[in-house]
Amino acid sequence: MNINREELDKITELLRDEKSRTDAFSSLVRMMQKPLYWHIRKMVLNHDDADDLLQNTFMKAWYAIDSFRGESQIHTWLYRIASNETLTFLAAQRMKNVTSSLEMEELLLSNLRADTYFNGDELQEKLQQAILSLPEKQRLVFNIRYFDNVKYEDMEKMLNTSAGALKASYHHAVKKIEAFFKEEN
Amino acid sequence: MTHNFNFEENSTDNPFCVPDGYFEDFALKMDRAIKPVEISIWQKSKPYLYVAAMFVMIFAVGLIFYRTNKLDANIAENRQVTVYSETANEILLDDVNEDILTEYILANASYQLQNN
Repeated sequence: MNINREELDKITELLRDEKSRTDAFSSLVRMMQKPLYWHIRKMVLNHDDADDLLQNTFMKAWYAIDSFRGESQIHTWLYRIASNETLTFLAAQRMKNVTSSLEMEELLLSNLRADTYFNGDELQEKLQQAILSLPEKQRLVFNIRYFDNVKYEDMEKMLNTSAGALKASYHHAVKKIEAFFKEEN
Repeated sequence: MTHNFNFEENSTDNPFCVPDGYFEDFALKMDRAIKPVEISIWQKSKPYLYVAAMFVMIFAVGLIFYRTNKLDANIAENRQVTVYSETANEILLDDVNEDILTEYILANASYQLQNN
């Protein structure tokens, strides 16, 4: 995750002033849209759902910008909104369509297979299947740590969870994925 | 086919992709969603014009109503006056006794003779 912190600090300052707020937010969208999109996409797998959730994330941030007090960095605040939006979406989908976590896993996997915007080879598809077998919060932790290589101290702020708990969560996720591949073989 | 997954060796390349130009379009879509809409003077003044037009209409309707009522009142008044005057003549003619009239004519004639 390569985020220019200095640029973000400047944008945060401009967001405080009503006159420059719209342009500053526009710059924030351009800066954060890719990392946030991939963060969401790895959870929901499907492009259309990721697009909707990304839009919701930015709109919620825009309407709540006055409540952002700068206690955390703006990008960690955005990650928190995106993570909450994604987990809420997945919970709603589970309530609507499926009765068990296995069915949910199958639904997401079939979405992934049907998605024309998935370029992965067979091994990557298998990895996605293994990741899908994890509980949602563990999946979130695994994706951020494994794909985006985010430090635990940054993840702490992004997910509002202690570094110790995140390390344990990631460790469990790795073990489960390894077990999944062993079982498959 | 068997798959061995080694976290150290396997690439963490992103297996997902997006439609061409997706991020450019997304940023523009967000701009449209957050930027205040430019409103022309005509659009800005529209609500005030509607209110002004409403007041003019209320005033015009009130004026028409007032004038119609006034006209009706005048017609009624004129009719009443006519009725009153007609009634007065009738009452006069009815009430004037022929004897009194004769007496009045005679008194009037004698007064004129005396003065002449």
